[in-house]
Amino acid sequence: MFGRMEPDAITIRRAINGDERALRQLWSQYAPHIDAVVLRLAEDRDLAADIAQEVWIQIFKALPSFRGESQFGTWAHRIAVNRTLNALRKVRRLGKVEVTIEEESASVEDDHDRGFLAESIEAAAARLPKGARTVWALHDVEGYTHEDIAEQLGITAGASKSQLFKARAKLRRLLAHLLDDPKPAVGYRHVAPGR
Amino acid sequence: MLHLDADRLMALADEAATPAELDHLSACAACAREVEAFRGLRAAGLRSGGVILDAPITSWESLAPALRAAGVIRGGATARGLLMTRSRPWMAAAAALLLVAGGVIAGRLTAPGVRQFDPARVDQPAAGVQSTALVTSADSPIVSVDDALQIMERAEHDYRAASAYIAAQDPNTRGDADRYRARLAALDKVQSAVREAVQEAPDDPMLNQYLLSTRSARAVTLQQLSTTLPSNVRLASW
Repeated sequence: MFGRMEPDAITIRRAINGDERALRQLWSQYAPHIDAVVLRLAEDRDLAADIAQEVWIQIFKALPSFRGESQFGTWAHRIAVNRTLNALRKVRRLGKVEVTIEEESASVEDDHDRGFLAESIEAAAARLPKGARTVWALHDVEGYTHEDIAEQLGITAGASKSQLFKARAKLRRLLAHLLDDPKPAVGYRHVAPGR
Repeated sequence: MLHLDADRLMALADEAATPAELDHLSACAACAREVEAFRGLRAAGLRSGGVILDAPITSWESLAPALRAAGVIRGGATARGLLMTRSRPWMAAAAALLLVAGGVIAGRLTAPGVRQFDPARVDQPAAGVQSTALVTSADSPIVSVDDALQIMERAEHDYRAASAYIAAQDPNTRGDADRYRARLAALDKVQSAVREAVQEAPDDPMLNQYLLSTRSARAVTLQQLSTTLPSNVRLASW
């Protein structure tokens, strides 16, 4: 998951001891990824920025418990996901997941989608309804199961699956020009047929 | 022909098809295309997990005060500095001495031709010393290790330039063998302390930098000491 160089044990130890330079080095190295995780799960950039700050404080507070059994980035990533979901629950946004989706008007969506051709899946995902976006990010990006998502979000596994399908259906529409194009579609490479 | 249910088409993005579904997909181009599209979507989602931001949405300037308030960042000094002060005050003193000695020595090196104190030159930049304002790290916020290294390099350059300016105005140190000997004695202690620290933390770039600087300063001082000796005497050892 993390292609970048792992921080050495000395940097971790210095960070645990409260060395600002070491802490800053860890933040500088991992913020582009950790902040991206938060942004993907949160509904908007301002909220994500607030949550990301809390995430980093939590990561650094928890640093003494990091035993090096996994990569630092993987360990921090897990904290980022959990902390973001906690924060989202606190702002009572996830409680509205199903309502938000049910209230979406299909005809209005189609009108909006018609003029929008996403250049990337991130841009398209930003247009998903809030709850569906979180479920999609947890399942299709983070690799959580519906049972995990249900537990994290306080919904049923069936509801999680339903929201995922709604998210996929909308992404399918938004990215149709890429997915249906005879040129290489999103996630695909065309392989020349064997001779 | 009956097509597969829309939810089932989406589910096949990450679920195995039944034999009956496989039969249908092999015969129905429309359903097969939809399944392929959803699989492509799924793959793109997984890949987007590796996407990173060009610029973080957090900033160290706002994070640092919060970390300080939370007790994560402790004090203004680095933890290693605190440890040094607590357990080995002589190491901290040696490091401080090295900074001063290194700066003065470097100053001698970067102030060619300025040997005698000239009151008229006091307010003028010394030869070879830039008169432009020093660039401080505040002008270049650090957001990466490369940034930090560049700022350190610039700070070293600025420190040498400032030392050179001061040294150029001081007529008392030229040719003073006793001062060079005193400096060598101090550098030997510093070198010993830093070498020991490097043995404890061989990967620490700062300590390695100090060790190299100390060795360099020592070599330069030996050269300077040799210039104070009579022409028929050569410094064989220290």
